[in-house]
Amino acid sequence: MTRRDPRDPLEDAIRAFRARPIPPPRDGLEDDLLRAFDLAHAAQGSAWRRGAGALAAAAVVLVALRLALVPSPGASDAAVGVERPRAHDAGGEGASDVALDVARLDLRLDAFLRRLDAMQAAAAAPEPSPPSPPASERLAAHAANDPALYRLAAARSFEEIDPRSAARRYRELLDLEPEGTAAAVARRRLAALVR
Amino acid sequence: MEPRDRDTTDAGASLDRDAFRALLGRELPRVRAFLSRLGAPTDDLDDLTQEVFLTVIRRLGWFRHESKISTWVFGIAVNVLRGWRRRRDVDVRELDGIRSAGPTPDGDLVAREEGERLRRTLQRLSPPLREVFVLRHVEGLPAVDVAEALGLPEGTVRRRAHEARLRLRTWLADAAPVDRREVTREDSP
Repeated sequence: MTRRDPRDPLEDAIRAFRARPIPPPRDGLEDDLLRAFDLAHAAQGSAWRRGAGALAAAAVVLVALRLALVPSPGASDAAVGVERPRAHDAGGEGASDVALDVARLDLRLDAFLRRLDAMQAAAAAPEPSPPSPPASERLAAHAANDPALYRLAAARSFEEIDPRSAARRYRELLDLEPEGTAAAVARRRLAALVR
Repeated sequence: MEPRDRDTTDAGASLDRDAFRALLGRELPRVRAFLSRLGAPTDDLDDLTQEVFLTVIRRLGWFRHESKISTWVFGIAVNVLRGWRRRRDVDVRELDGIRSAGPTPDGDLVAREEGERLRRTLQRLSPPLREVFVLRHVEGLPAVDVAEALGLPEGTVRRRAHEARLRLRTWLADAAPVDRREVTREDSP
């Protein structure tokens, strides 16, 4: 039989854990988030007024949020073609600061939306025909239909590096298929090699 | 489809500025504490909190008021922390450098040690058990709200909470000072 501590150690630990102090947030975090809220709201309204679709409006809000809070101009800003405005150039606070940022954002919104339209148009365009497969793939495709042709090509590829091996391969080809175009070519090549 | 699953934007459509400010005032400290209790390093608390509320801004229009907004925000916080772990390819359990939140200036020494011991012990739990335990037993959310926040069936939440408590009890007993461990009659003289 077990005699337990009258207090529940886990509950005590939870109470103590809950009471641990959490360091205060950095100064201005709440204000920054409010500003992000304002910017996102304004950017979305601006996007709708310009007739942007839901996707474009969503992208605009993301850009606005990034502009509002990303600490330094990053590659992701450049990737969407938006220059990061210098948010604190305004020298003011609150609504006027936000208004300036929104105005700057507006200046760039058209370009951004045009770019988005171009991307969507490009995505909707028919895909170009695929490029020709490399020679080795073409050869493999031929070989599937014409093994003699494949043997001929393989033998010819040996002519430069090992003529004796090439000659042996021509003979093997002629043994297997003494008739046909491949055989005729093989016969001519073999004659030239042994001359 | 649940609001939190819709990766789209309708920024702030269902909340005006004053309401958002009130939300921030109420939830920002809770979210920071919650992230810290889940094991987020102190140095990253502000960035993670900021990311949580940026996501809130983006998705506010999709919040349907079918659950409490605090529950919804906690769910976002869990996802933000998971994403942060994935991006860094690290589980904060493994980090040696996690700092304690700091000493309690006038706190009771024993209580402080108990809280610190639970903080360390929590890091031994897997993230799924830790998330459920912290939401259910530290933040005090009802099981149904934890289920909503984590997108889990309520039964799974109850099972995980139970499992987490069992493990923590065992580990805490192992780590406890001798005078706090269970005393059996057989051990008594």
